[in-house]
Amino acid sequence: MTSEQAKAAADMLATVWESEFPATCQVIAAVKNGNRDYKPDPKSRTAWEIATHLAMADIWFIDSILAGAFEWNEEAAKQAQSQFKSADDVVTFYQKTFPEKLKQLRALPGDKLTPPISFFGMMSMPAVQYIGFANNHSIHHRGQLAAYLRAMGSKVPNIYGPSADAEAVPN
Amino acid sequence: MTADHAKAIADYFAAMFDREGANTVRVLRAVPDDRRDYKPDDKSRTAWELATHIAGSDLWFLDSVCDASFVYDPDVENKRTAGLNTIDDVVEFYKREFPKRIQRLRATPGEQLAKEVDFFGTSKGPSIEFLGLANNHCIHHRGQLMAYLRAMGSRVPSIYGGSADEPFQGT
Repeated sequence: MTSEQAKAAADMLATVWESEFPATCQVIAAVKNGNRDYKPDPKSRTAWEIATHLAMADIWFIDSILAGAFEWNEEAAKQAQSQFKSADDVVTFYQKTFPEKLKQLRALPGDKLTPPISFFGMMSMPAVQYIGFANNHSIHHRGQLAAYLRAMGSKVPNIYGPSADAEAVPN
Repeated sequence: MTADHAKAIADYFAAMFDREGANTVRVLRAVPDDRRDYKPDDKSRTAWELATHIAGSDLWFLDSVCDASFVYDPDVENKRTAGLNTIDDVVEFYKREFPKRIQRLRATPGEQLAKEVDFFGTSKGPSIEFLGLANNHCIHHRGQLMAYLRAMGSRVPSIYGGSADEPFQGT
């Protein structure tokens, strides 16, 4: 893939990811303080863990692609997570941060998108491939979280079509 | 959208579909046949409904992108998955048919993929741009299905990182 082709792919992926932004905010916002510790199995993550992981991982992925390197600082992640007291805090953070990071990603020149980046020694792909990986990671966890919502007593928003809840209670 | 860019994006997604298709097979295979009617809430889809929806719609999306035409005929789509009676049938069907669609995507000329299409009156754009929706639609429903697995007595495969049931396999 040439740098020009990588740039075209990155632009399209940024548009795809951006189009998911409203639904991601709605799914996170459906987690309430009274039900956020729900998990369908003792081994599963809680709704709160998925909501915060989803929001922070999207930003971490973009920052890593921008930096051309993946590094993980457990302490910094814990500290960042501790700023959130409710799902509304997570949504506010995500609404403020994600569009700005995506803008920076769109501004990345094509020649920064083609060099391979190691993902903690487990795999290595050109930088542009991690945009798709990050988008997929986000959609995957949002799908999991959406599957928790009804069992938690929350409603499922429309995502790729009308949800049974949104039909019953039109916005 | 130029034909060259459309072709480069198609190749990008084809490589991603190779990886994600393998992940999807692992999730479909984890659905226990004797628990396939499980759903976490009365309003939710059953595991079987999700599994067959994923398998059928992945083919429909890729065919539609390659045809540069989005038409949904419920009779045609129902026939596509009508012969599937067990989860093994779904897995075998998906393992056989999805790679053919990826191959078709790789073989479709850039000029065809760059054609403007109408997506049921909700949006318009080059056909290739709807690959993002195809990809995310699958991963969303697969994420939902994964959230069902432990409650069905099954194990969660690793996808973007290790699960509590399986360490990360890389990609």
